[in-house]
Amino acid sequence: MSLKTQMAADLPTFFNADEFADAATLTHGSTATTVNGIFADSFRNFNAEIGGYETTAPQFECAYSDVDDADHGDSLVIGSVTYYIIGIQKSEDGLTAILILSEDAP
Amino acid sequence: MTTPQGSDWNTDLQWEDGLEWQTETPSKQEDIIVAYKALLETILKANKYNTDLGALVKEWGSPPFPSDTTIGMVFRTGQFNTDAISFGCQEHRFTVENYILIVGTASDKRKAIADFYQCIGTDLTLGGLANISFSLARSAEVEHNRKRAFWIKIEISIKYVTDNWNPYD
Repeated sequence: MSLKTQMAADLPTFFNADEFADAATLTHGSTATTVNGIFADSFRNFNAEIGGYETTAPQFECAYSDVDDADHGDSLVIGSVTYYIIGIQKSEDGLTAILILSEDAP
Repeated sequence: MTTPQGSDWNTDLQWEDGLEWQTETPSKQEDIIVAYKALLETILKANKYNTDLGALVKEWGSPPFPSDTTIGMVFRTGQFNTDAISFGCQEHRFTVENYILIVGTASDKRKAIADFYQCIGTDLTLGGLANISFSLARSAEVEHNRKRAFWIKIEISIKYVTDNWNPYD
């Protein structure tokens, strides 16, 4: 078994919704699936030099194989909040992806 | 004009020769800024504008706009120049950088820009205090995070005239 295969086999441990991960509902077209991943929502101050606008940058990291057919504009419901995918950052090794999210559709 | 010196003062903080300088009097530039802010605050849907941009007008140095803001603006004065235009008379010019925040769509952004120009055009002398001479530059930035937000920068120039070495009149 290659290292990459072993790492892929370990992903469910990291993206376990009973521990650090969240279960989200991804809707692509008319198909809804459950995806486990780690949600982060770090602080952003846009244009801080002149005071700025306080916002956050939500993102969701998960196994790429769970979202390989996702597109910009697909919805992802986490908790009770509906987000839209505005960016898909696939990792170099192709094992994971970070979905860049917004409450505003692209 | 001379500068204040000991025996020239009386108890009313006025010049013996009757000039109207007082320590409690705002400078003319301050009056202009107050009038400018008041003008911007008229940008309300209730006044037939497309947006309520005037509901949240702040000066530079204020805290950030909180996350639930949908529209607002902040302004600050920039470069300041003074030239003598005649004996005893000076012309001052300064720039005002206006930053408009729109949390919404590109269409919302265009409405706010239009409202800004429309408002400025209603009183280019700020009640006779100055002249808003022209728009110098405009640029925009966008970030799409939790919300899509635009910052639009519009720089304008304001000029006014005072007595020589007298910022108050």
